Amino acid sequence: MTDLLSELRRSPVQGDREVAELLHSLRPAGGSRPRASEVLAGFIAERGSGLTSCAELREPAEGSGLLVVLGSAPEPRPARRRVLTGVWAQAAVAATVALVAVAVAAGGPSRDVVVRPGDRSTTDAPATTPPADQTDPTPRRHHPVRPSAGPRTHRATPHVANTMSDHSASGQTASVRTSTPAAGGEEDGSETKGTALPEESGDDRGIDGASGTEAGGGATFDDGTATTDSGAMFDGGGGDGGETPDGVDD
Amino acid sequence: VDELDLLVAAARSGGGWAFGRLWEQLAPSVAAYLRGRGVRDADDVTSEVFLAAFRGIGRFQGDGVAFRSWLFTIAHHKGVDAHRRPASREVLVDVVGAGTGHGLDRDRARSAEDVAMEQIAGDRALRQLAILTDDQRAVLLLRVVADLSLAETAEVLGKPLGAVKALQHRALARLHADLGAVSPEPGGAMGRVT
Repeated sequence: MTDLLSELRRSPVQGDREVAELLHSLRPAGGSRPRASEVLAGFIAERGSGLTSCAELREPAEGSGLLVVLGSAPEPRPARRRVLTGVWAQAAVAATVALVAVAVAAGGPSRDVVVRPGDRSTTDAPATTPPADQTDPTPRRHHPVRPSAGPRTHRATPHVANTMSDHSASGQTASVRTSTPAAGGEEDGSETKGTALPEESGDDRGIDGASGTEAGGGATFDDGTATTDSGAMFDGGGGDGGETPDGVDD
Repeated sequence: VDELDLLVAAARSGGGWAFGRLWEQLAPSVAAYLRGRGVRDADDVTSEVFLAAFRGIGRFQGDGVAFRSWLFTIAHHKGVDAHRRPASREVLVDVVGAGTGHGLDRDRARSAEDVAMEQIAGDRALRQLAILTDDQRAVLLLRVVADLSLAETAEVLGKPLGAVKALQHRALARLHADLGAVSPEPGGAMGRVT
Protein backbone atom coordinates (compact mmCIF):
# COMPACT_ATOMS: atom_id res chain seq x y z
CA MET A 1 0.00 0.00 0.00
CA THR A 2 1.40 3.34 -1.00
CA ASP A 3 1.62 6.25 1.33
CA LEU A 4 -0.70 8.20 -0.92
CA LEU A 5 -3.44 5.61 -0.73
CA SER A 6 -3.09 5.16 3.00
CA GLU A 7 -3.29 8.91 3.55
CA LEU A 8 -6.38 9.19 1.44
CA ARG A 9 -8.03 6.26 3.17
CA ARG A 10 -7.32 7.66 6.60
CA SER A 11 -8.78 11.02 5.64
CA PRO A 12 -11.98 12.05 7.39
CA VAL A 13 -13.23 13.49 4.13
CA GLN A 14 -15.52 11.18 2.22
CA GLY A 15 -14.23 12.42 -1.13
CA ASP A 16 -10.69 11.39 -0.25
CA ARG A 17 -11.78 7.90 0.58
CA GLU A 18 -13.69 7.66 -2.66
CA VAL A 19 -10.65 8.73 -4.58
CA ALA A 20 -8.61 6.22 -2.63
CA GLU A 21 -11.05 3.51 -3.56
CA LEU A 22 -10.90 4.52 -7.18
CA LEU A 23 -7.13 4.57 -7.25
CA HIS A 24 -6.92 1.28 -5.42
CA SER A 25 -8.82 -0.41 -8.23
CA LEU A 26 -6.01 0.61 -10.55
CA ARG A 27 -3.62 -1.64 -8.70
CA PRO A 28 -3.10 -5.08 -10.22
CA ALA A 29 -5.27 -7.83 -8.86
CA GLY A 30 -3.73 -10.51 -6.71
CA GLY A 31 -3.34 -13.29 -9.21
CA SER A 32 -3.30 -11.40 -12.45
CA ARG A 33 -0.07 -11.55 -14.32
CA PRO A 34 0.68 -10.42 -17.85
CA ARG A 35 1.70 -12.86 -20.51
CA ALA A 36 5.30 -12.75 -21.53
CA SER A 37 6.51 -12.59 -25.08
CA GLU A 38 8.29 -15.61 -26.46
CA VAL A 39 11.54 -13.71 -26.47
CA LEU A 40 11.28 -12.90 -22.80
CA ALA A 41 10.10 -16.38 -21.88
CA GLY A 42 13.02 -17.83 -23.78
CA PHE A 43 15.40 -15.47 -22.07
CA ILE A 44 14.10 -16.36 -18.63
CA ALA A 45 14.12 -20.05 -19.42
CA GLU A 46 17.63 -19.80 -20.77
CA ARG A 47 18.78 -18.20 -17.57
CA GLY A 48 17.59 -21.19 -15.64
CA SER A 49 14.31 -20.29 -14.07
CA GLY A 50 12.83 -23.62 -15.03
CA LEU A 51 10.44 -22.29 -17.62
CA THR A 52 9.86 -24.24 -20.78
CA SER A 53 9.91 -22.44 -24.05
CA CYS A 54 10.21 -23.28 -27.69
CA ALA A 55 13.84 -22.30 -27.66
CA GLU A 56 14.51 -24.53 -24.71
CA LEU A 57 12.78 -27.46 -26.29
CA ARG A 58 14.69 -27.08 -29.52
CA GLU A 59 18.17 -27.32 -28.01
CA PRO A 60 17.84 -30.68 -26.29
CA ALA A 61 16.33 -32.12 -29.46
CA GLU A 62 19.48 -31.29 -31.36
CA GLY A 63 21.64 -32.60 -28.59
CA SER A 64 19.78 -35.87 -28.36
CA GLY A 65 20.11 -36.30 -32.09
CA LEU A 66 23.82 -36.11 -31.74
CA LEU A 67 23.80 -38.54 -28.90
CA VAL A 68 21.80 -41.07 -30.82
CA VAL A 69 24.18 -40.97 -33.72
CA LEU A 70 27.22 -41.23 -31.55
CA GLY A 71 25.72 -43.85 -29.30
CA SER A 72 25.19 -46.18 -32.21
CA ALA A 73 28.76 -45.84 -33.36
CA PRO A 74 30.31 -48.50 -31.13
CA GLU A 75 27.63 -51.00 -32.09
CA PRO A 76 28.92 -51.87 -35.55
CA ARG A 77 32.36 -52.50 -34.22
CA PRO A 78 31.89 -56.08 -33.02
CA ALA A 79 29.80 -56.86 -36.08
CA ARG A 80 32.59 -55.67 -38.32
CA ARG A 81 35.04 -57.78 -36.41
CA ARG A 82 32.81 -60.74 -36.90
CA VAL A 83 32.72 -60.01 -40.59
CA LEU A 84 36.43 -59.55 -40.76
CA THR A 85 37.22 -62.72 -38.91
CA GLY A 86 34.83 -64.63 -41.09
CA VAL A 87 36.31 -63.22 -44.24
CA TRP A 88 39.86 -63.78 -43.13
CA ALA A 89 39.11 -67.29 -42.05
CA GLN A 90 37.60 -68.07 -45.40
CA ALA A 91 40.49 -66.38 -47.16
CA ALA A 92 43.02 -68.26 -45.12
CA VAL A 93 41.36 -71.56 -45.79
CA ALA A 94 41.16 -70.77 -49.46
CA ALA A 95 44.75 -69.63 -49.56
CA THR A 96 45.83 -72.73 -47.74
CA VAL A 97 43.99 -74.89 -50.17
CA ALA A 98 45.49 -72.95 -53.05
CA LEU A 99 49.00 -73.20 -51.64
CA VAL A 100 48.62 -76.87 -50.98
CA ALA A 101 47.47 -77.29 -54.53
CA VAL A 102 50.42 -75.28 -55.78
CA ALA A 103 52.79 -77.18 -53.55
CA VAL A 104 51.46 -80.46 -54.74
CA ALA A 105 51.81 -79.30 -58.30
CA ALA A 106 55.24 -77.71 -57.90
CA GLY A 107 56.92 -80.03 -55.45
CA GLY A 108 59.24 -79.70 -52.35
CA PRO A 109 59.98 -75.98 -51.61
CA SER A 110 56.35 -75.25 -50.99
CA ARG A 111 56.59 -76.38 -47.36
CA ASP A 112 57.91 -73.01 -46.29
CA VAL A 113 55.08 -71.29 -48.07
CA VAL A 114 52.41 -73.48 -46.55
CA VAL A 115 53.23 -72.24 -43.07
CA ARG A 116 52.47 -68.58 -43.83
CA PRO A 117 48.75 -68.70 -44.59
CA GLY A 118 48.17 -70.45 -41.33
CA ASP A 119 49.60 -67.41 -39.55
CA ARG A 120 46.42 -65.32 -39.81
CA SER A 121 47.11 -62.97 -36.99
CA THR A 122 49.92 -61.39 -38.93
CA THR A 123 48.82 -59.23 -41.76
CA ASP A 124 50.74 -61.25 -44.28
CA ALA A 125 47.67 -61.95 -46.25
CA PRO A 126 49.08 -60.13 -49.27
CA ALA A 127 51.82 -62.76 -49.25
CA THR A 128 49.18 -65.18 -50.32
CA THR A 129 48.46 -63.17 -53.43
CA PRO A 130 51.03 -64.91 -55.62
CA PRO A 131 49.18 -68.16 -55.31
CA ALA A 132 45.92 -66.26 -55.52
CA ASP A 133 46.95 -65.18 -58.96
CA GLN A 134 47.03 -68.75 -59.92
CA THR A 135 43.80 -69.51 -58.19
CA ASP A 136 41.69 -66.57 -59.16
CA PRO A 137 38.37 -68.27 -58.59
CA THR A 138 39.06 -68.85 -54.90
CA PRO A 139 38.44 -65.31 -53.64
CA ARG A 140 35.20 -65.25 -55.55
CA ARG A 141 34.04 -68.21 -53.57
CA HIS A 142 33.87 -65.88 -50.62
CA HIS A 143 31.37 -63.57 -52.15
CA PRO A 144 28.39 -65.79 -51.52
CA VAL A 145 29.56 -66.08 -47.97
CA ARG A 146 29.78 -62.34 -47.33
CA PRO A 147 26.13 -61.43 -47.46
CA SER A 148 25.32 -64.06 -44.90
CA ALA A 149 28.25 -63.09 -42.74
CA GLY A 150 27.81 -59.40 -43.10
CA PRO A 151 24.81 -58.28 -41.09
CA ARG A 152 22.62 -55.23 -41.71
CA THR A 153 24.32 -52.06 -42.69
CA HIS A 154 27.71 -53.54 -43.33
CA ARG A 155 26.96 -55.49 -46.41
CA ALA A 156 28.89 -52.98 -48.35
CA THR A 157 31.81 -52.91 -45.98
CA PRO A 158 33.39 -56.27 -46.87
CA HIS A 159 34.94 -54.52 -49.84
CA VAL A 160 36.62 -52.30 -47.37
CA ALA A 161 37.38 -55.21 -45.15
CA ASN A 162 39.52 -56.78 -47.86
CA THR A 163 41.93 -53.93 -47.62
CA MET A 164 41.34 -53.14 -44.00
CA SER A 165 43.24 -54.86 -41.28
CA ASP A 166 42.15 -55.02 -37.68
CA HIS A 167 44.35 -52.06 -37.03
CA SER A 168 42.56 -49.96 -39.54
CA ALA A 169 39.24 -50.99 -38.12
CA SER A 170 40.31 -50.05 -34.66
CA GLY A 171 41.56 -46.84 -36.09
CA GLN A 172 38.12 -46.11 -37.41
CA THR A 173 36.47 -46.80 -34.11
CA ALA A 174 39.04 -44.63 -32.45
CA SER A 175 38.01 -41.78 -34.66
CA VAL A 176 34.42 -42.33 -33.62
CA ARG A 177 35.41 -42.25 -30.01
CA THR A 178 37.22 -39.02 -30.40
CA SER A 179 34.21 -37.53 -32.06
CA THR A 180 32.06 -38.32 -29.05
CA PRO A 181 33.80 -36.04 -26.59
CA ALA A 182 34.13 -33.51 -29.32
CA ALA A 183 30.38 -33.44 -29.71
CA GLY A 184 30.02 -33.20 -25.96
CA GLY A 185 32.34 -30.29 -26.05
CA GLU A 186 30.16 -28.62 -28.60
CA GLU A 187 27.20 -29.06 -26.37
CA ASP A 188 29.04 -27.61 -23.48
CA GLY A 189 30.18 -24.83 -25.66
CA SER A 190 26.69 -23.99 -26.71
CA GLU A 191 25.61 -23.93 -23.13
CA THR A 192 28.33 -21.59 -22.11
CA LYS A 193 27.58 -19.45 -25.09
CA GLY A 194 23.95 -19.45 -24.10
CA THR A 195 24.78 -17.99 -20.76
CA ALA A 196 27.48 -15.71 -21.94
CA LEU A 197 25.85 -14.15 -24.95
CA PRO A 198 22.93 -12.44 -23.26
CA GLU A 199 25.28 -10.79 -20.85
CA GLU A 200 27.38 -9.57 -23.68
CA SER A 201 24.37 -8.46 -25.59
CA GLY A 202 23.09 -6.82 -22.45
CA ASP A 203 26.28 -4.91 -22.15
CA ASP A 204 26.12 -4.05 -25.78
CA ARG A 205 22.59 -2.87 -25.46
CA GLY A 206 23.80 -0.47 -22.89
CA ILE A 207 20.73 0.46 -20.98
CA ASP A 208 21.84 3.54 -19.28
CA GLY A 209 19.08 3.36 -16.77
CA ALA A 210 21.49 2.22 -14.13
CA SER A 211 23.57 5.28 -14.46
CA GLY A 212 20.38 7.22 -14.64
CA THR A 213 19.30 5.77 -11.38
CA GLU A 214 22.50 6.76 -9.76
CA ALA A 215 22.42 10.15 -11.26
CA GLY A 216 18.81 10.51 -10.30
CA GLY A 217 17.98 12.25 -13.52
CA GLY A 218 15.46 10.96 -15.97
CA ALA A 219 17.31 12.56 -18.84
CA THR A 220 20.06 9.98 -18.65
CA PHE A 221 17.71 7.04 -18.95
CA ASP A 222 18.21 6.17 -22.52
CA ASP A 223 16.78 2.81 -23.08
CA GLY A 224 18.36 0.84 -25.88
CA THR A 225 15.33 0.78 -28.07
CA ALA A 226 14.03 4.12 -27.03
CA THR A 227 17.08 6.15 -27.79
CA THR A 228 15.54 7.68 -30.85
CA ASP A 229 12.40 8.52 -29.04
CA SER A 230 13.84 9.51 -25.76
CA GLY A 231 14.87 12.87 -27.01
CA ALA A 232 11.41 13.68 -28.18
CA MET A 233 10.03 12.30 -24.99
CA PHE A 234 12.18 14.44 -22.85
CA ASP A 235 11.28 17.38 -24.98
CA GLY A 236 7.72 16.57 -24.18
CA GLY A 237 8.68 16.32 -20.55
CA GLY A 238 10.10 19.78 -20.69
CA GLY A 239 6.92 20.99 -22.25
CA ASP A 240 4.93 19.34 -19.54
CA GLY A 241 7.11 20.92 -16.99
CA GLY A 242 6.19 24.17 -18.55
CA GLU A 243 2.58 23.35 -18.05
CA THR A 244 3.09 22.63 -14.42
CA PRO A 245 3.43 26.23 -13.23
CA ASP A 246 0.18 26.94 -14.99
CA GLY A 247 -1.36 24.19 -13.04
CA VAL A 248 0.07 25.54 -9.88
CA ASP A 249 -1.44 28.85 -10.69
CA ASP A 250 -4.75 27.12 -11.02
CA VAL B 1 16.50 -7.38 3.92
CA ASP B 2 13.62 -7.03 1.51
CA GLU B 3 12.95 -9.93 -0.83
CA LEU B 4 13.21 -7.62 -3.78
CA ASP B 5 16.71 -6.66 -2.69
CA LEU B 6 17.71 -10.30 -2.65
CA LEU B 7 16.19 -10.96 -6.04
CA VAL B 8 17.90 -7.99 -7.62
CA ALA B 9 21.21 -8.95 -6.09
CA ALA B 10 20.81 -12.51 -7.30
CA ALA B 11 19.89 -11.42 -10.80
CA ARG B 12 22.85 -9.08 -10.95
CA SER B 13 25.19 -11.85 -9.92
CA GLY B 14 23.87 -14.14 -12.62
CA GLY B 15 21.26 -16.10 -10.70
CA GLY B 16 18.94 -17.07 -13.50
CA TRP B 17 16.19 -18.15 -11.14
CA ALA B 18 15.79 -14.57 -9.95
CA PHE B 19 14.56 -13.34 -13.35
CA GLY B 20 11.40 -15.37 -13.14
CA ARG B 21 10.75 -14.21 -9.61
CA LEU B 22 11.29 -10.59 -10.52
CA TRP B 23 8.84 -11.02 -13.36
CA GLU B 24 6.32 -12.52 -10.97
CA GLN B 25 6.62 -9.74 -8.48
CA LEU B 26 6.80 -6.69 -10.68
CA ALA B 27 5.21 -7.54 -14.01
CA PRO B 28 1.63 -7.00 -12.82
CA SER B 29 2.45 -3.49 -11.65
CA VAL B 30 4.30 -2.63 -14.83
CA ALA B 31 1.46 -3.96 -16.96
CA ALA B 32 -1.09 -2.03 -14.89
CA TYR B 33 0.94 1.12 -15.25
CA LEU B 34 1.15 0.71 -19.01
CA ARG B 35 -2.53 -0.10 -19.23
CA GLY B 36 -3.33 3.01 -17.24
CA ARG B 37 -1.22 5.01 -19.64
CA GLY B 38 -3.39 3.73 -22.46
CA VAL B 39 -0.88 1.37 -24.03
CA ARG B 40 -2.80 -1.10 -26.17
CA ASP B 41 -0.38 -4.02 -26.06
CA ALA B 42 0.37 -3.65 -22.40
CA ASP B 43 1.50 -7.25 -21.95
CA ASP B 44 3.74 -7.07 -24.95
CA VAL B 45 5.32 -3.84 -23.86
CA THR B 46 5.71 -5.22 -20.36
CA SER B 47 7.77 -8.02 -21.84
CA GLU B 48 9.90 -5.49 -23.65
CA VAL B 49 10.45 -3.62 -20.42
CA PHE B 50 11.63 -6.67 -18.56
CA LEU B 51 13.76 -7.88 -21.41
CA ALA B 52 15.54 -4.55 -21.52
CA ALA B 53 15.94 -4.54 -17.77
CA PHE B 54 17.23 -8.10 -17.58
CA ARG B 55 19.68 -7.57 -20.39
CA GLY B 56 21.01 -4.44 -18.78
CA ILE B 57 20.92 -5.56 -15.19
CA GLY B 58 24.66 -6.08 -15.25
CA ARG B 59 25.06 -2.35 -15.34
CA PHE B 60 22.46 -1.64 -12.72
CA GLN B 61 23.61 -0.71 -9.26
CA GLY B 62 21.25 -0.36 -6.38
CA ASP B 63 18.78 -2.14 -4.16
CA GLY B 64 15.28 -3.34 -4.78
CA VAL B 65 13.72 0.09 -4.45
CA ALA B 66 16.15 1.52 -6.96
CA PHE B 67 15.47 -1.37 -9.29
CA ARG B 68 11.75 -0.74 -9.10
CA SER B 69 12.30 2.91 -9.94
CA TRP B 70 14.65 1.96 -12.77
CA LEU B 71 12.17 -0.56 -14.12
CA PHE B 72 9.36 1.97 -14.23
CA THR B 73 11.64 4.45 -15.91
CA ILE B 74 12.10 1.94 -18.70
CA ALA B 75 8.37 1.28 -18.65
CA HIS B 76 7.65 4.97 -18.97
CA HIS B 77 9.91 5.26 -21.99
CA LYS B 78 8.53 2.11 -23.57
CA GLY B 79 5.03 3.38 -23.01
CA VAL B 80 5.85 6.56 -24.87
CA ASP B 81 7.37 4.51 -27.67
CA ALA B 82 4.33 2.26 -27.81
CA HIS B 83 2.05 5.21 -28.42
CA ARG B 84 4.02 6.02 -31.54
CA ARG B 85 3.98 2.69 -33.23
CA PRO B 86 1.27 0.37 -34.55
CA ALA B 87 0.12 -2.55 -32.50
CA SER B 88 2.54 -5.45 -32.62
CA ARG B 89 1.61 -9.02 -33.23
CA GLU B 90 3.97 -10.74 -30.88
CA VAL B 91 2.99 -14.19 -29.77
CA LEU B 92 2.53 -14.18 -26.03
CA VAL B 93 3.00 -17.18 -23.83
CA ASP B 94 1.85 -17.83 -20.33
CA VAL B 95 4.62 -17.84 -17.78
CA VAL B 96 2.38 -17.93 -14.75
CA GLY B 97 4.09 -19.58 -11.86
CA ALA B 98 7.55 -18.92 -13.16
CA GLY B 99 10.16 -20.03 -10.72
CA THR B 100 7.85 -20.97 -7.88
CA GLY B 101 5.15 -23.00 -9.49
CA HIS B 102 2.38 -21.81 -7.21
CA GLY B 103 1.23 -18.88 -9.28
CA LEU B 104 -1.02 -21.05 -11.36
CA ASP B 105 -2.87 -22.26 -8.31
CA ARG B 106 -3.30 -18.73 -7.15
CA ASP B 107 -4.89 -17.83 -10.45
CA ARG B 108 -7.21 -20.80 -10.31
CA ALA B 109 -8.22 -19.87 -6.81
CA ARG B 110 -9.67 -16.61 -8.01
CA SER B 111 -13.21 -17.02 -9.14
CA ALA B 112 -14.43 -15.73 -12.46
CA GLU B 113 -16.69 -13.33 -10.56
CA ASP B 114 -13.75 -11.81 -8.73
CA VAL B 115 -11.89 -11.36 -11.95
CA ALA B 116 -14.90 -9.77 -13.61
CA MET B 117 -15.50 -7.38 -10.72
CA GLU B 118 -11.88 -6.35 -10.65
CA GLN B 119 -11.99 -5.83 -14.38
CA ILE B 120 -15.07 -3.64 -14.10
CA ALA B 121 -13.57 -1.61 -11.27
CA GLY B 122 -10.36 -1.27 -13.18
CA ASP B 123 -12.16 -0.15 -16.29
CA ARG B 124 -14.12 2.40 -14.31
CA ALA B 125 -10.97 3.73 -12.76
CA LEU B 126 -9.33 3.97 -16.15
CA ARG B 127 -12.30 5.92 -17.46
CA GLN B 128 -12.00 8.24 -14.51
CA LEU B 129 -8.35 8.75 -15.23
CA ALA B 130 -9.19 9.76 -18.77
CA ILE B 131 -10.21 13.15 -17.53
CA LEU B 132 -6.68 13.80 -16.34
CA THR B 133 -3.81 15.03 -18.39
CA ASP B 134 -1.16 12.58 -19.40
CA ASP B 135 1.27 13.82 -16.78
CA GLN B 136 -1.31 13.83 -14.02
CA ARG B 137 -2.25 10.29 -14.91
CA ALA B 138 1.38 9.21 -14.99
CA VAL B 139 2.01 10.69 -11.56
CA LEU B 140 -0.96 8.98 -9.97
CA LEU B 141 -0.14 5.67 -11.60
CA LEU B 142 3.44 5.75 -10.50
CA ARG B 143 2.42 6.69 -6.98
CA VAL B 144 -0.38 4.15 -6.63
CA VAL B 145 0.41 1.29 -8.99
CA ALA B 146 4.19 1.38 -8.90
CA ASP B 147 4.36 2.28 -5.21
CA LEU B 148 6.91 4.98 -5.89
CA SER B 149 7.50 7.96 -3.66
CA LEU B 150 7.19 11.52 -4.89
CA ALA B 151 10.94 11.76 -5.31
CA GLU B 152 11.11 8.50 -7.24
CA THR B 153 8.18 9.57 -9.38
CA ALA B 154 9.94 12.82 -10.16
CA GLU B 155 13.03 10.84 -11.06
CA VAL B 156 11.14 8.52 -13.39
CA LEU B 157 9.36 11.37 -15.14
CA GLY B 158 12.41 13.59 -15.22
CA LYS B 159 10.58 16.45 -13.58
CA PRO B 160 11.30 18.56 -10.56
CA LEU B 161 9.86 17.37 -7.30
CA GLY B 162 7.72 20.48 -6.94
CA ALA B 163 6.20 19.97 -10.35
CA VAL B 164 5.29 16.39 -9.50
CA LYS B 165 3.69 17.50 -6.25
CA ALA B 166 1.63 20.03 -8.15
CA LEU B 167 0.61 17.47 -10.73
CA GLN B 168 -0.52 15.09 -8.02
CA HIS B 169 -2.48 17.79 -6.23
CA ARG B 170 -4.26 18.83 -9.38
CA ALA B 171 -4.99 15.22 -10.35
CA LEU B 172 -6.59 14.46 -7.00
CA ALA B 173 -8.61 17.65 -7.17
CA ARG B 174 -9.99 16.77 -10.56
CA LEU B 175 -10.88 13.29 -9.46
CA HIS B 176 -12.60 14.72 -6.42
CA ALA B 177 -14.63 17.01 -8.59
CA ASP B 178 -15.51 14.26 -11.01
CA LEU B 179 -16.61 11.90 -8.28
CA GLY B 180 -19.12 14.44 -7.05
CA ALA B 181 -17.24 16.10 -4.30
CA VAL B 182 -17.83 19.82 -4.37
CA SER B 183 -14.22 20.75 -3.84
CA PRO B 184 -11.22 19.63 -1.89
CA GLU B 185 -12.11 20.23 1.69
CA PRO B 186 -9.67 21.99 3.96
CA GLY B 187 -9.46 19.04 6.33
CA GLY B 188 -9.00 16.55 3.53
CA ALA B 189 -5.91 14.55 2.86
CA MET B 190 -5.25 16.01 -0.54
CA GLY B 191 -3.53 19.03 0.76
CA ARG B 192 -1.42 17.06 3.16
CA VAL B 193 -0.36 14.09 1.11
CA THR B 194 3.29 14.20 0.27
